[in-house]
Amino acid sequence: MCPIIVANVAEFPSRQPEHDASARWSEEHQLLDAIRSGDRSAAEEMVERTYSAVFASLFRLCADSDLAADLTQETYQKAWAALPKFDGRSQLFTWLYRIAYTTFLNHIRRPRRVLSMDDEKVPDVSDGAPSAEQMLAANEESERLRAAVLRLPEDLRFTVTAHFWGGLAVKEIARIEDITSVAIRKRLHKAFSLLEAILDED
Amino acid sequence: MNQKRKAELQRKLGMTSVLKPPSGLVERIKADIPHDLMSIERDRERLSRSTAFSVRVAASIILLISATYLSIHLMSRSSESVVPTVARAKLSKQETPAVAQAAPAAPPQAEVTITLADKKEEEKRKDRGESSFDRLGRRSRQFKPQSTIADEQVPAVSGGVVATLPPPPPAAPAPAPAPTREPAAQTAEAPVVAATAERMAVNAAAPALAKSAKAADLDFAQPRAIFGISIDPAAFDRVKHTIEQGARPAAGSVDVAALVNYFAGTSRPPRHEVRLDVEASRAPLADSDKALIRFTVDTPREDVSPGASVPPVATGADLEILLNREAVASHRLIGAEELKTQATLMKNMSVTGMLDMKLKPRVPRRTTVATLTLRYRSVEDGKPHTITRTVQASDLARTWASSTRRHRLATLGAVWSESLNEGGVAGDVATSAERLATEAPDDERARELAALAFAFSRLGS
Repeated sequence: MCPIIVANVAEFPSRQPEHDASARWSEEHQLLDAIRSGDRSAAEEMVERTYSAVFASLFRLCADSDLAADLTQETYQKAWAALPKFDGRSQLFTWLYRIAYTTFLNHIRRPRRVLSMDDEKVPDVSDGAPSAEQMLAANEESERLRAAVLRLPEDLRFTVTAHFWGGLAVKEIARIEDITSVAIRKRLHKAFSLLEAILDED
Repeated sequence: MNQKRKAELQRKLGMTSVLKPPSGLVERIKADIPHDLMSIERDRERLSRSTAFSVRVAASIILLISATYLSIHLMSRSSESVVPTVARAKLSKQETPAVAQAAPAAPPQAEVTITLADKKEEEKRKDRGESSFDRLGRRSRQFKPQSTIADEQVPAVSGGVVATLPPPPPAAPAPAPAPTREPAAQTAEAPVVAATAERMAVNAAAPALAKSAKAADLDFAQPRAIFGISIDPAAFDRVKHTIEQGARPAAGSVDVAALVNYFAGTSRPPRHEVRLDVEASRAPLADSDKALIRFTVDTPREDVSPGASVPPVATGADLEILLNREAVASHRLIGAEELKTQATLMKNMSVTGMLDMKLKPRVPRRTTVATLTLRYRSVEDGKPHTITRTVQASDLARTWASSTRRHRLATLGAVWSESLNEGGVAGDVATSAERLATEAPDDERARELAALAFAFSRLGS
């Protein structure tokens, strides 16, 4: 098991306060309209705004930097192709997260490209980082947690990863899953119970 | 889970650290942006246009199908009204027994329906319009959708079979046969009647003969068999009587198929048409590599008034079992040598057969090892129907304990019946049957099996 560097942490996709949501919504729509009208710089802006969060989500899912980068690139390739079907009812990042998640699932289902837990590259540890023992202990724990999350049933796994690793709000997940926020909260509650059982089992 | 543990999990999930994206990733992504972004919008418009067109086409097709169905329905109703309904009802209740007497005279049976087939070869042959029966040099029996009961049985009626019947009592109808415990048993005692609409028309032409027949006049000797599988209801009573008298049934004298049918009993019957219920599991009390496939044909239930015959539900019924030669090491039909075509399936009927099977080593779980096909012509709609069930290698690996109650009791009954025939001791059957009986105290069959198996084991060898 390789340690994951604790320093040099990417900015977590922050949850927007309510009053910012409508402004962001309208801004995203303008961006989308611009992209659809052929504005390449708008497309580049969209990439710059979102790729870091998409990468972060994928890294949390696969725990491999190179793989997460490849999957991020693949996510955007799929996004360009799927853009005509995007109706704009959910947030842009939510839509991108769904594509990224599906891309990750497709990846782990490919027989020859199953992610090996032991094959991860060991990143360089920068100065000022915690001791190797601390990092190993912390990393082993987070790896156990990641493995446990990936063992959850599909609906619970998507909900947990979208909420905690994709940074999506409960309401936003409810919208793309087409169920109520209460149902999403129930899913999370059930997922916690299952995670506890899985972790205890290990 | 307690709140503290939940909060801890939430904290850990939220704290998962990540690396910053590698340098150059954003350039790689930007390089993939399509050069002609306008084409995205064009695609979007094309997509919405094609969706709208598809919806219109689908709506038109649905409308067309509905209109066709409605007109066919109206036409069939208007043609039905020509035949007096009352007359038909009278025929079905009073006159069909005459046909029943004729029925056994023309059984188109003795067909081989189990064969080993190489699946790939089978597919190739299907493409060429041939069947594996031909390839193996066995007699191929094709389903004959045009064959009707009237075609098969008119010679028997005109041959004077009914003329041997004594005249009917003038007023009082024949007493109803005593109700048996289970529909399977009822089936065995019920007249084998062929009463399609065509048949009724034949009877109407010979009213004197038809009226002279009553259920009580007919001697339906037992044992009865369906698809060549014995369902003799007296078989169990004979075994029971022998064991209760403190004797062991003579080796080879037990009608295993009939006992299997007795223990399989009837589950909830289908509402319409015919049901083919297939289930597989490892054999009870046997080697782990041995498995049993149970197949049961159930027909709908219908209350029949005293003296009236049980109406038919299907004609020309044929049950075929195709085994995958590549997967099956050995197989045996329990209690019957071969399956036969069944001229008519009556209502209130249930027949169960069983196949003992061993697979070759290392057969993939998803391999289809057996295909069971039931073909028949429905009396209700006059159309040929086909029901197909497949059994995979994984089905045979299922534990006996996880199978349905009907399957467990039938297979346990089969093992016990065979042990009686072989003179073996069936103590383990008794224990398993007792467990089944404990699970469902109302299950008379399980209790009977447990009691008899215990009694038999005490007899010694």
